[in-house]
Amino acid sequence: MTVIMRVALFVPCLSEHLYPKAALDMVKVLRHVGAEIEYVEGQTCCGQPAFNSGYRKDIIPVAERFIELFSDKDAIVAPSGSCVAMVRKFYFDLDIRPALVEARKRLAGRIYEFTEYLVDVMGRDALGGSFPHTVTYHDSCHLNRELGINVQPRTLIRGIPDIDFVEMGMPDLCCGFGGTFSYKFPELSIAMVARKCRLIEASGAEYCIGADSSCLMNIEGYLRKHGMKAKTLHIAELLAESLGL
Amino acid sequence: MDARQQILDSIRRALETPSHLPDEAAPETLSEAIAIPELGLEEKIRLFRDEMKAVSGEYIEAASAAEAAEKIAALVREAPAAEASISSGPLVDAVSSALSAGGIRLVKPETLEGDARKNAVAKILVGIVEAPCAVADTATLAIPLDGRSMQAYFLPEIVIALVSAKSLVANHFELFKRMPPEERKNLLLITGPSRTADIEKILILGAHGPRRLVACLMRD
Amino acid sequence: MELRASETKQYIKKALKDDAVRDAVDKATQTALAKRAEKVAINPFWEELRKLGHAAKRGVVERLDENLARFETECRNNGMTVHWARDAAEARSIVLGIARDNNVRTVVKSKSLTTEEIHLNKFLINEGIETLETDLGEYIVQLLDQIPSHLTAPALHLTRKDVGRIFHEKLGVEYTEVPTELLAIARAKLREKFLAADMGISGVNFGVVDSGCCVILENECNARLSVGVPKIHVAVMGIEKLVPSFDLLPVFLKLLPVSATGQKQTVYVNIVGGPQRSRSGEGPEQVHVVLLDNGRSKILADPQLRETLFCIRCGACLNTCPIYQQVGGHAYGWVYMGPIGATLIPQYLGTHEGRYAPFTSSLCGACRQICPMSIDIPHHLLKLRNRVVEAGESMAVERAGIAVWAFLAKHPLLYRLATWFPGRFQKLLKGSFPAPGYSAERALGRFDDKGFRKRFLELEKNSR
Ligand code: SF4
Repeated sequence: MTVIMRVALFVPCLSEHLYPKAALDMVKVLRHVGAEIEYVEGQTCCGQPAFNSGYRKDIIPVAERFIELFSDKDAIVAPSGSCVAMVRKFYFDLDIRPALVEARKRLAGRIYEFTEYLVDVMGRDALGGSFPHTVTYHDSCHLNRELGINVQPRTLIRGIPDIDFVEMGMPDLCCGFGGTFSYKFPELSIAMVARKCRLIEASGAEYCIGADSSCLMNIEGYLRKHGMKAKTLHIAELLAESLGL
Repeated sequence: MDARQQILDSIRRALETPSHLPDEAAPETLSEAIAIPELGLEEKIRLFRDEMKAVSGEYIEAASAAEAAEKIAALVREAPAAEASISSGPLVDAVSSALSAGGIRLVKPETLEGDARKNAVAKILVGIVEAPCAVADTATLAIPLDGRSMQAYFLPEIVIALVSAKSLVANHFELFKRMPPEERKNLLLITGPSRTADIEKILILGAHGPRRLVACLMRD
Repeated sequence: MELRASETKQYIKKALKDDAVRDAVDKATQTALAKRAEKVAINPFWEELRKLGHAAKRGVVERLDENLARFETECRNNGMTVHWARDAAEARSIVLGIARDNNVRTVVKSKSLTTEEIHLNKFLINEGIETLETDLGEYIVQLLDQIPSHLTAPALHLTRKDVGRIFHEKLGVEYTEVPTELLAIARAKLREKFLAADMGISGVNFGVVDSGCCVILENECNARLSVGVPKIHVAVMGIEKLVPSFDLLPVFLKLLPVSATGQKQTVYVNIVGGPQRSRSGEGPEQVHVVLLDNGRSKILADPQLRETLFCIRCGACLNTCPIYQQVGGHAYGWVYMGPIGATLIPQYLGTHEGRYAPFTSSLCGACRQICPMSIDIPHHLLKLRNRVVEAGESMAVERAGIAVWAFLAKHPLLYRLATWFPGRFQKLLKGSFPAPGYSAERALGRFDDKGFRKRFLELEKNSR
């Protein structure tokens, strides 16, 4: 039985402007497993940075726009747990127009994070391919604790036959990014990412895999500046690379 | 308006809006967690003994009052002490004459009044007490404040507590269920010797209370 | 030393430079977490207990008026005196009144955050009543004139060397850093005081509604000595501290110690349901319960944030918090610290004094995951951030920036145009953009010159 999966992409700001490769690789992987991809024109931002900073009123129209734009899609997939959490959970904290309340609920049930969609919806866990390197995995907080997604990415990583997967100490320790937190309390945020990077280094991994570009940017920025040898890789990039896409 | 009225009024006003909290299961449906397991006597004894050791308490057993008295007397002498304060109740009453006969001077707090009582008990190294009931699951001694003097339970450095095997209950749920409502209202629960970890999380036994707690289980 | 929640940014910076404090805090929190995890792992009903606890607390809080009235009646029937205090000042004067009526000159206190909240110690001392903290950790921080840096381990930020120095300087004893010797010094000093004190003051962990009694948990026996020896016992209790019944009390007796210290049970559980002296010839002849509002009924008014009143002050959320682990408790600037403190500070102290507190979090959610009462702390922090913004306490530049962003986000063409520039400029730069503060120790990501959309469309064209 072949069911054609139609997937509407939601590409969050950071992926759009700083890390397009992760999102492009997500597209390649989704196509590889048989999904049909659609890019919804006119998408901007889900509103999370402003929401997390406390500006609920300002984001209501942004959220309403987002709901209108996406709520008739069957499946919306994004390469970021925190943006999915925003739509799935935190949109319910907003006093949106009553006419959109139903659509919000529908949307919440149809927006997925990339690894969640692959494993839980499409039922794909071992994609095969090859990546003969030592990797570790960082649990992004929103992905892990708001959405409860921590098994799926590991399943996909372990699904690459020749990969060497090692857990770092405290893989679910926050990397200290926290969006606007990182510039409101920069010293604190840096102390946190330093600790994370020490754990990554101690794991001996060549690559730190993550599923959220924001955490990866934070981690990568510190690793690079301090000449640490581990590199960061979005899980979509890892899968695309291993499959030679 | 008085404080009471004002506080209650503002609570009532606050509660006019119903909670925006996720729905949750009613407590009755979670009864497994609060169930009282069926444990045999030996199982309860084993649990109590293991838990007592786990909380750095000591555990001895006696098959008769005479044996208990002998073991307790030995403990007092090793302490080293020649005297002990002794609480009241059927278990300690059963051993007290044998203890005295064994040469240990017993001080009954009840025979002293006010300041004299606490000052006397605080000076004596060993206290011999009894727990009318104990919880197997946590090795907790349960002592209702039913008019007895409590000072021998917490002022001495070494406390030896007699516990009847028959009085063991499985867990706290059973403890409170069994205990008459008037008794549980004034109650001291003791689980191991007093301790602190306030300096660098290093565990030290014997903070402001006993440094050693010895449970003597009476099997008959 | 008076701390202020509004100074938290400075405190955080200072704390980050203090390696000794950070090491001490880190070591202590990791120890506590490991012990807790051990006990949780062997309890197959842990998650059920959490649910039960939450439901029980919710039941109490959602009918707090009836429950308090019932609790009061039951306490009175048990021979206790119940007082009501709207705020800290009222609570202090009630306690002072009791002390004056009974010619109290010395007071021993067992650890209580509620009395820290109302600054009871200093007040009584200023009124000429000798007031001593008796929990070892509290005793140490009192000697230093500090407030506790943790909900359950007040001196967690200090090392044995610190304690040795403090005892040497303040008590005039010879310097030692051997923990058992330090304890022996404190024990000897305090033993005399316990035996001579006129009054004992305690907090209350749980007030049992249907039975009218106060439950006080502890390990050191100092609470036992405070509530069971002097002639007067005063228990100061926040109005949210109720639990419904003895049937459910064991749920809390399990949740609290495991979460706090990884003990299955604290060494002492003192259940106080009335004066004992007339029956046993010892212990208190008067037991007073002071019910304190001090802002709690205001917290109750918010249908979401009222969940913060379910807190049983176990401190687990502090131990697990990656921020608390870095900066310790004093950085928050108030008696309640860590994640739960960050929710309580703006609620108790207002959105001006507490304008930074809800932001001292990366919203990682570790607190909610560990909280025995499953309090959704990150969600509450988000709501409080909004409250700070609504109160006009956020920075003007930030407000303006957000307004511009929101406008652009509604207009995709302009949005694309505005985000096109950084990509262009980035090309001219070798590294990435400097970001004040952020990029001090780490590089910002580099803007892509095309962006995803353009690259995606190209990909589409090529594959066709
Ligand atoms: S919020 Fe939860 S974890 Fe934190 S102190 Fe309160 S009960 Fe404990």
